Amino acid sequence: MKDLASGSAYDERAEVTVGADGVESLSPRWAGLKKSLRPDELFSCAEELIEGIDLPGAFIEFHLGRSFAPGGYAWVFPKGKGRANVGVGINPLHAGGKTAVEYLNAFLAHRAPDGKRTRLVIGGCSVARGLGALAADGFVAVGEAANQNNPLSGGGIVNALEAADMAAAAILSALSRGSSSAKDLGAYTREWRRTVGKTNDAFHHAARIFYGLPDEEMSRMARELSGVPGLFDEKGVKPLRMVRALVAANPRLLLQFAGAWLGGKKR
Amino acid sequence: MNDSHNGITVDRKICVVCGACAAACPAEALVVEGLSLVVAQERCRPCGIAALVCPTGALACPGGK
Repeated sequence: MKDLASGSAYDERAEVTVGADGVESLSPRWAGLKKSLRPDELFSCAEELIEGIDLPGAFIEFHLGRSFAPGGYAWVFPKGKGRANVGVGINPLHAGGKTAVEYLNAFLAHRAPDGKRTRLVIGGCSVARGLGALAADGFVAVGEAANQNNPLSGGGIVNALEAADMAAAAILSALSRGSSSAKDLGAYTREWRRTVGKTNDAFHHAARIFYGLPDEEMSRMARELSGVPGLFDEKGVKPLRMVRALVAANPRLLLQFAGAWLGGKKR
Repeated sequence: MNDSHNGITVDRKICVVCGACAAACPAEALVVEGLSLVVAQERCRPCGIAALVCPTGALACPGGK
């Protein structure tokens, strides 16, 4: 270990080490649980806190399409008082040599040309498929370090909190039996895969299809959704109704999803 | 100031140490240590992936594929 404040290096031992060191994490790699992320497994992101943006309602906005966010999406998250986080996440392989910051600048020129930029945040966001194992001897990985973000949205805070709960329970259970083996800590992997991990797998397959759609197809689907009655309520969009409507209008999506699912099972 | 290490170049004026490059670097040649991006010159291949995923364009890799 290295104390970054003093620069001194020293040894530290623990029964179990939790690797929760974020997207840039190396600890799961050292534990043999993970490889580096491929460029298409990483959204390249840039976000700016904007003041003085026109917000027609208390809605979050997602903007899709190759011109604003190739292979990803641009967002507007209202924060009240005419402020919003405005950002883009792009697939670097589809970006045509442009950076996330350049895409953000273009999106801001379109969506908030008169807004005042107040805080720029930049980073990578894992949208990779979940790890096969989250535990090794004396080690567990949690959060973005463990590819636990939602692969469709990139969101990961709630997932990380839930994973931390599961990991803590498995660690306590293992240590109470005097063990820190991969086998005993593996209860964490099993619980994750039974719950959030299972959902994330489905989101991963959906993302592979969704972000591969041509812009024209996305526009067509958006038009179809706008005519579906009861799609929204006071809490927002109803996801299941939306999926049903999309599949009813595009039966091919169901086949694509099944193909992606089966392909994923073979990996 | 720019650092040049065996192909990968880091523009320290633009780099925000977000770690995207470290996540994607197959060789663990880029490591975030606190508020710094450390480049392990001897590990860089160079493949160009880190420069590809960098959100700000702070990395350049002329030798990358």
